Amino acid sequence: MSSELDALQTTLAAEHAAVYVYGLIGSRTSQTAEAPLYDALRAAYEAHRERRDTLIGEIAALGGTPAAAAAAYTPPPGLDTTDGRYAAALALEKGCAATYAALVGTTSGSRRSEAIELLDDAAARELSFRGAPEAFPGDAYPGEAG
Amino acid sequence: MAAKVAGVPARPPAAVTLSRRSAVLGLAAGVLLAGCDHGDDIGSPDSGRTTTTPGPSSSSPTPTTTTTTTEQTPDEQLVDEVVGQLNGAIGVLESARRRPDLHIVLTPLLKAHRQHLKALDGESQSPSAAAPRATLQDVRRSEKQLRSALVDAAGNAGSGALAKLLASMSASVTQHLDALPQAAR
Repeated sequence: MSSELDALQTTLAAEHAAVYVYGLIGSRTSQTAEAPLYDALRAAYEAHRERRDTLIGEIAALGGTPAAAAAAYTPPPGLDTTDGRYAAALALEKGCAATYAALVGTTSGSRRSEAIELLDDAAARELSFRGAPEAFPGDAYPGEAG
Repeated sequence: MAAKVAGVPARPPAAVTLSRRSAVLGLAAGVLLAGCDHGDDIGSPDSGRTTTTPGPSSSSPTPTTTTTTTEQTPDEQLVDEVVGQLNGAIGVLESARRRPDLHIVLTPLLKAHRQHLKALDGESQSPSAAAPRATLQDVRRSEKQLRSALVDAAGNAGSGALAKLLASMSASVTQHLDALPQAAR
C-alpha cells in the first residue's frame, strides 16, 4: 500500500509541475497567431489540473497527506520562440508519460487501469506537441529508442 | 522561493531493460539485463511435451518415455498470447505494405512492433506469401484489436514491470494509429 501511495504522491508532484508549466507556456503563447499550440496547451492544462485534483482526493482517501505544489518551478528554456514552446510542452508531457508508466508498474486493479489510460492519453497528447510515435512511450523499455 | 523542478516532472529513477525472461519472472525494477542472452528458457509453446528417446541400446525393443512437464506461470502464458497477437498484427502490416502507397506509411509501425517482439523475446513468424494485400482499414482494425489485448494484458500482468512494458506498447499503438493518414481512419 505504501509503495502505491508513494507512486501516487510522485504522480501528484508531476501534476503540480505540469499545471504550473503548462500555464506558464500558455501565458507566452498567442491565442490567435499560434492557435493550434494554444488549444493543445489549454487542453493539456485542463486535463492535468483535473488529474491533480483527482489525485489529491485519492491520496487523502488512502490516509495520506497530498503533496503540496512547490513554491516555484524553474521555467524550461526556450519559451521565447514557438519551436521552444512546442519543445517544452513535449518534454513536459513525456515526463508525465514516464511518471504514469511508473504508476502502472506499482499499482494493480482499477488503479492500474486508470494509470494505463493516463499513459495512453499522454502518449497521444505528445503528438499534439510535434512528438513522433515511439515504440515505448513513457520510457518503459529504454534499451530501445522510440 | 527556491526553484524546485526544472520545468518537467522528475522521471522515475530506475531504467529497466526487460528481456522476456526478466519480464515474465517479475524481476524488480532496477535490474538491468541489457546484454544478457535472449535464450528462450522460460517455457516454450511446446512445454509439457512428451519426448521419446531410445533406450540404452539401439536394439532395445522398448523405448524409454520421459514426460517433461514445465508449468508456465500466468505471466508467461500472457506473454505468449501477446506475442501471438503481435505476430498477427505484423502479418496484416506486412500484407498491407505490399501496396506501394502504404509501404512508407506503415514502416514506422512495423518497426515498433518488431521492437515490441524483441522486448518480449518473442519470435516473429513469417507471413504467408499468398496472403492477400490488406487495406489500411484492415490495419486499423487489427491494431485496435492488438491495443485492446495489450491493455487487458497490462491490467492482468502479475509483474509490475511487465504491466508497465505492455501498457507502453499499448500507448505506442495509440500513437501510431493517431499518426496514420486521416482519410484512412
